[in-house]
Amino acid sequence: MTKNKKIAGIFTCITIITCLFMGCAGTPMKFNPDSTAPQLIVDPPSIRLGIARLLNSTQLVFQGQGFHPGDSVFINLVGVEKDGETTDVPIAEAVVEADGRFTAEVQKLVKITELLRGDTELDDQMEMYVLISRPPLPAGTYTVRAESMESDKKAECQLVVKDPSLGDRFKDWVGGLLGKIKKK
Amino acid sequence: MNKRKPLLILWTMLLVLFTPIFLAAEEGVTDTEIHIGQFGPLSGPAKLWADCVYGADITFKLVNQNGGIYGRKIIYHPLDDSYNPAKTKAGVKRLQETVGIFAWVGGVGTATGMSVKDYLINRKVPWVGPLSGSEIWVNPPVKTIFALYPHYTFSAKALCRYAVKNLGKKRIAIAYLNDPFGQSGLDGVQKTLKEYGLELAAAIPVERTETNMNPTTLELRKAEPDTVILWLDPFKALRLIMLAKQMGLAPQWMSGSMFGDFPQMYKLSKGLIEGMITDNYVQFSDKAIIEKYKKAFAEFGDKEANWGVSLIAGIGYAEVLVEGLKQCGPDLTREKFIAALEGIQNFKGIAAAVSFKPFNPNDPFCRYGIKQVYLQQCLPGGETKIITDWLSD
Repeated sequence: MTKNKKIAGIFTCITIITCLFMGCAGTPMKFNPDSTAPQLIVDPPSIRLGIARLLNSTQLVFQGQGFHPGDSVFINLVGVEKDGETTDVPIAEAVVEADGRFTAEVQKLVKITELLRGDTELDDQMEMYVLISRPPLPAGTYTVRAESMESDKKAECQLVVKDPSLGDRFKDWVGGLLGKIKKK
Repeated sequence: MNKRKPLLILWTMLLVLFTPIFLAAEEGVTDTEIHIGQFGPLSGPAKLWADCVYGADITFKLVNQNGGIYGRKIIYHPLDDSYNPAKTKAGVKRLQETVGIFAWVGGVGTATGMSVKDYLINRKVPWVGPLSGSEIWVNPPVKTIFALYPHYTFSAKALCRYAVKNLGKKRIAIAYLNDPFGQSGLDGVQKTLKEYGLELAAAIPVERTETNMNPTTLELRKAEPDTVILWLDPFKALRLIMLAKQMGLAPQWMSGSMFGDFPQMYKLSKGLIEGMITDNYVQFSDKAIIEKYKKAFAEFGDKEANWGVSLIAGIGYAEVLVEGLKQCGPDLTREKFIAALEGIQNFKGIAAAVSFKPFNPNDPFCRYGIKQVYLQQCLPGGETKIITDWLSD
């Protein structure tokens, strides 16, 4: 094997490993500057349901514009399969600022209960751990809708939900060894 | 002109016939029903406080069993929000705009309650007893919101006074959440120590997002307190007590009524809270009332519900709402209901005495119903020992 082939082989391996362990940021969404209608964007537009990754390093933030100042909104994940039914799941909320914009972050507790469909428990040391007893939100592309409390204003965008990567599964396995994640 | 006259008469007759019906219609009220809502965590990690929601159900079922209020049955709409403010918003809006809720009772949590406060105020929907002792419900006062939960500042004052006056403690420290809830506790402790010419041994803020309680515990140990008042969420507080125990720090632990359900908290903490002193406002002393509700609990209680402080609080808040409805008479409107609640003086149900005053935008106390607490100590096995009489600010 020539030196160049060896380098190419190593490069390929690194690329494959990086791809396996990498996240899935996707292209950032932007507001349409030509529209005054209500709009919603999400950052990142794509998430993976690795437990450690989602809870510790994924900030899932929705931003909206074109709503009434002082209004408040909630963000629904639309058409979710849950317990044999299709339902909308509220995952974030915010108050609309004076410029008609809002920022709503999905809180850790909501990530645990609604996206991972887990629970939290205390161990003997009174430290909290995540208990997973059923499958998480099914992977897929979801419509996310921001709904106004005070008017009928609504805005939508798409959120891609992916299964955990190999790297995520490894992290969660380590989390299990450390007692931070338990599966029933 | 003559052709139009019969039409005009017909319109006038229709108007005369139907106007009283339109005027009498109040959202959430029919001739046979009154619709009442409450939100709370019936699922998820905060379901420890679900009993507040189940408690109100017992009160309403008992009222309905006895014929309702002026022939109207209370239709109760408990809403599971999993302690997720986004769910609170979506659920409250759905119920308010589809079912039509006459009034809300309880509602567990500050963040969840805050998320719907403006929405309910804007619609002038009465709200009796948001289940949180934050100042936001009464300062500034709102005509439609009637707070019942004792103010956190007052609770912290009562605990601090007891530590100094009754236990002779001198080195008092506080670990508090760095948010309005925690600040209320700190405020109460600071004011009380000033009364006695003492200074805080330590005041340690803890951020909401903080998960490592080691630095806080180490800082506390350095201050060598004889009493530590915890104004934290129960999970952080329990971790802190556990770490303190491991480090050999054994002060008198005190906390607010969020720790007041000793049997439940004892079980959750695996006995760690033994000896802790908290305030409470649910009356254990009136045996006849307790027995009445224990019987109702056995008959109507949800299978998920536990008899304890949270359940009794839920019963008590709903009692105040029912008292307001009774005072209105048969012609029930929100305006009359608010006036009736304002007229409640020293109402004694299962909880502390409740009094309100006519609305005064400059007086937060006009919407602050419970102004008394007592102190209790956790005994082995999670038993409760009441250690004071009712205390006022």
